[in-house]
Amino acid sequence: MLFNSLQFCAFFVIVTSLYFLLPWQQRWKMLLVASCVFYMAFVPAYIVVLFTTILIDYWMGIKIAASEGKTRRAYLFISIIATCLVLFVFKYFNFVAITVRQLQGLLGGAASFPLVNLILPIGLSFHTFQSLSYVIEVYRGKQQPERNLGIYSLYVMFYPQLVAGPIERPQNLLHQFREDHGFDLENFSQGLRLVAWGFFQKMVIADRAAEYVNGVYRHWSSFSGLTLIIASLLFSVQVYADFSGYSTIAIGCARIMGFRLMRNFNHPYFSCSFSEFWKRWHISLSTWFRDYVYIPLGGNRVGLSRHYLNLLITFTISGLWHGANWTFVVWGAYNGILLILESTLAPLTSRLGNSLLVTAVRRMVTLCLICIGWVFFRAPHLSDAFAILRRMAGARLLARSDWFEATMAFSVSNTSFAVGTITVVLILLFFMVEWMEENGLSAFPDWLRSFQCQHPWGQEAFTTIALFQAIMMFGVLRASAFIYFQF
Amino acid sequence: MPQSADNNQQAHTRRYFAIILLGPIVLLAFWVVFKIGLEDRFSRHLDAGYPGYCEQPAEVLFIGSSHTRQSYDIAAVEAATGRSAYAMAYGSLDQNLMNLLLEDLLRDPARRPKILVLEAYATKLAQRSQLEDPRFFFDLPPGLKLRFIKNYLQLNPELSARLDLFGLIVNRGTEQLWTYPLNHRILARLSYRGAYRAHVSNGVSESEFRSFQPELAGPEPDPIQFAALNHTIQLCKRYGVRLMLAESPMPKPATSEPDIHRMKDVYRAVSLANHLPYLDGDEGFPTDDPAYFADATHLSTAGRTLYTANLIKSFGPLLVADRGPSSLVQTHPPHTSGPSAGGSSERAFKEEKSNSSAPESAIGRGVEERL
Repeated sequence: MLFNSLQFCAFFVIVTSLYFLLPWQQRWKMLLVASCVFYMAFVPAYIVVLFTTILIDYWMGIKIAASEGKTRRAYLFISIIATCLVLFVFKYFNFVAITVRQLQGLLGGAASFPLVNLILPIGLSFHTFQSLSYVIEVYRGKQQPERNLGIYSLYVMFYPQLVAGPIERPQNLLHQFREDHGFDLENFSQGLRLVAWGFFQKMVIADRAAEYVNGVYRHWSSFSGLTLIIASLLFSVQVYADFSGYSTIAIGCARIMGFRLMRNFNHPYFSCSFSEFWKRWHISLSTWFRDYVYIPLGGNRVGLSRHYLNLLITFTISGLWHGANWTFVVWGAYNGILLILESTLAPLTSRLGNSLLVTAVRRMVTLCLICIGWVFFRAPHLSDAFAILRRMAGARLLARSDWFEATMAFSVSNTSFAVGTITVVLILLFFMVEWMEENGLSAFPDWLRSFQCQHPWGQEAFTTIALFQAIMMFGVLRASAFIYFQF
Repeated sequence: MPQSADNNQQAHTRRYFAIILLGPIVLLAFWVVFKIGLEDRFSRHLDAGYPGYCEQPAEVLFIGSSHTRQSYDIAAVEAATGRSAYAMAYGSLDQNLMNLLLEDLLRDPARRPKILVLEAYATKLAQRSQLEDPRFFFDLPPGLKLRFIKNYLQLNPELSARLDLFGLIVNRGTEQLWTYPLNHRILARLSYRGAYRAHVSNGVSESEFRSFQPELAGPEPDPIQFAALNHTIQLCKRYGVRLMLAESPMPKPATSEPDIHRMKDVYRAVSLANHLPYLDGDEGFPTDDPAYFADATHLSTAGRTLYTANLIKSFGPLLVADRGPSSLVQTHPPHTSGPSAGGSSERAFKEEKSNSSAPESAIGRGVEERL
C-alpha cells in the first residue's frame, strides 16, 4: 500500500478516525491491527517473518535485562545474529552467491553457488535496525525491556514509519504508545500540513525529476554528457525529495495522532562540508551507524589511521545497507573517502575563513561531490557508473545541439520545453522554501502572520490547501513506489 | 473560563475542518471549469493541433498520430501541389479520436478541407481506442471536450478510467498553460503548419535497427476503430471531401507480425470497397535501411523527405487536380463481385491480392494511367 495511493488515503482516514473514537487505553491495539493490515497489503505471508523477528527480540530483550556478564552478552549476540540472519537471507544471499560465482568463473571453475528466489520483505532493512536499536539499548541499560508483547510489536511495526523510517529509538517511541493523545488542533493541523508537504515533495518534485532521470538512465549510452549531467543533478533532487517526502508524510501521519517521530532530514544540500551533510541526511540512519558501528569501533578516539579506517568501514557498511549491489558499496566507500579527505585537509581549509564567498564555494563543492556519488547510487552496474561519469566529464557545455537534446528529454512529445521549464521552476521554488526554513524566514506577509497569531491553525490550513492544489495541478498523479522502499 | 476556552477550541476546530474540506473542493471546481472552458484558448498558436488548424485552415489536411507529424514535409507538399496543407497530429491518435475531430471539422465549411489524407496506421486499427497524448484534450474547445469525455466514459466504464479522466482534466496540460507566453513562440519557430521544420532526427544504428520489436496488433480490427473508420468515410462522402488513406513506412524488423499485414489488408479492402486511394508507405521505400528511421515507429528526416516524395508521386495528380467529389479515383481495378463498404472487405481483399503482380514502383504510374 503506497502512501501516494487512494487505498492509503482511505486507510489513513479510517485508522485516524478510529484512533480518536476509541478510549486511549485501547488505541495501541487498534494501531497494531492497522499496522498488520498495512504490512500485509504488500506480501501477506511475510507477516510471519516479521513476527518471528519480533518474538526473538522481545524475548531476548527480557533475557538481556535479567542477566549479567557473559550471559547478557550472549543473549545480545543471539538477538543480533538472528535478526541479521533474516536480513542476510532475504537481501544479501544472492549478492554473495553471484559474487562467489563470478570469482569461481575468474578462477576457471564452474559457477555452482546456489541462488534463492525470495522477494525482499518491505521495510526489512528499516525495522531490522529498529529492532537492533532496541536490544542494544536494553543491553546498555539505557532502556527498560518492554514486557508487553503487543506494545513492543507496535514499536517495530508502527505503520507510518514501518517501511522507510525514520528509524526510531525505543526511548523516543515506546512510551508514546502508553500516553493519552487527545485530539489537538495544533497537532492535527501541523500534521496535515506536513503530510501535504511530503506529498508535494514526492509527487511534484521527485516524480517529475524521476520521469527525466528514468528516461535518460534507461538508455544512458544514447545521450550526451550534458544530458547525463542534468539527469544526475535531477536524480540528486529526486532521491532527496522522494525520501524526505516519505519521511515527512510518516512524521505528519504520526503527528496527526499526537505522536512525535524524529526529524530525518535537515536541508542537507545546504551543507558546507561532508560531515555536516551526514548530520543532515537520513539522520536516523546516520546516528544509528554512529552509535552502533562507528563508536563501538573506536570512533575518533583512536589513532589517525584507525579513525580513518573506522570511517571507511562505517560508510561502506552503510552503502551496503542501501542495496545488495557493488554500486552501493562503492557509493558508501566514496562517501567515507570524502570524509577522510575532508578531515585530512581540515587544517588547510579552516584557514580560508567563513566569508560569504568561501561558504558559497564550500557549499558548491560539497554539493557537486555528493552529486557525483549519486551516479553510483543510480546506475544499474558499476561499469555503467564509471562510463556515465566519463561521459559527463567530456560534456560539451556550449553545444546547442546537446542543450536541445537535454531539453527534449523532458517529454516524449513537443511539450518538452513547457514540462522542462515548469519542472525547473518548481525545483527552484522548492529549494527556495527550504532555504527560507533553513534561515528562519517566513514566506508570508505581516498581515497573514498576525492573523496566524489569532488563528494558529489559519496558516496551516492555507498552506495545506495551497499544497494540495499544487499537487493536483503539477503532481504526477499515478502511484509510484518510493525509492527507499527497495531497501 | 475553562468551558469558554473549550468552546473557543471547538469553534476553531469546526472552522478549520470547514476550510480544509471545502477549500480544496471549491478550488478544484474552479480549476476544472477553467480547464474545460478556457484552456484551449492557450493552445491557439501552438503547432500541429486542432486550434492551429482552425486558425489557418488548409485545402489538404493530413491527420494522424506522431507518424503523420514526422512523415510529411508540408512545405514540399505545398510546393508540389500548389495547395495549402496542414498536418494535424497527436501522439497515438487513432481512428476513433480522429473521427471525433473530423465530425466537428467537416461540418464547418470554413474549416472543411478539400482533401483529407487519413492516417491508416495498421497496428492501431486492432487496438482499443486510448488517449495517450494529453495535448489532444488540451486543444479541444469546450464542446468537443465534453463529447470526448462522453465517448471516453462509454468506451471505458471501469473505475480506473474515471480516475485517469480526472487526472487528464485536472492535471495534464498545466505546464503549457503556465509557459504559454514563451512556449508558443518557441514551438512556432520549430514547426511549419503542423509538421517539423527545424527539428532534425537522424537515422539509427544498424544494431539498434535490428533490435526493433514489432508492435503487437491483433488478428481482428477493433470494432470501435473499424466503425469509426467507416464513419469517417461516410462523413467525407457527405461533405464532399476527397479522402485518401496513407500509412507511413515502418522499419522492416518492426513489421514482422502477421497481424500487422492483416490490418493493412483490411485498410486495402476498405479503400477498395469505397473507391479510395490507399498508399502503403512500405511499398517503394527502403524499409531495411536504418538511415531512414529515427526509431521503431518514426521516420528520420531523410525518411520524411523520401516518403513525402513518394506520396507526391502517388497522390500528386489527385492532390493537384481540381476535381469534384464525384470523381474519386480508384487505385485498384474494379472487381466483378462488386464489394460493398465494410461487409465483404475480406473477399474483396483476396481478389485484389491475386491481382497485385505489378512492381512496387508502378503505384504512382498506375494512378497516372487511370487519369
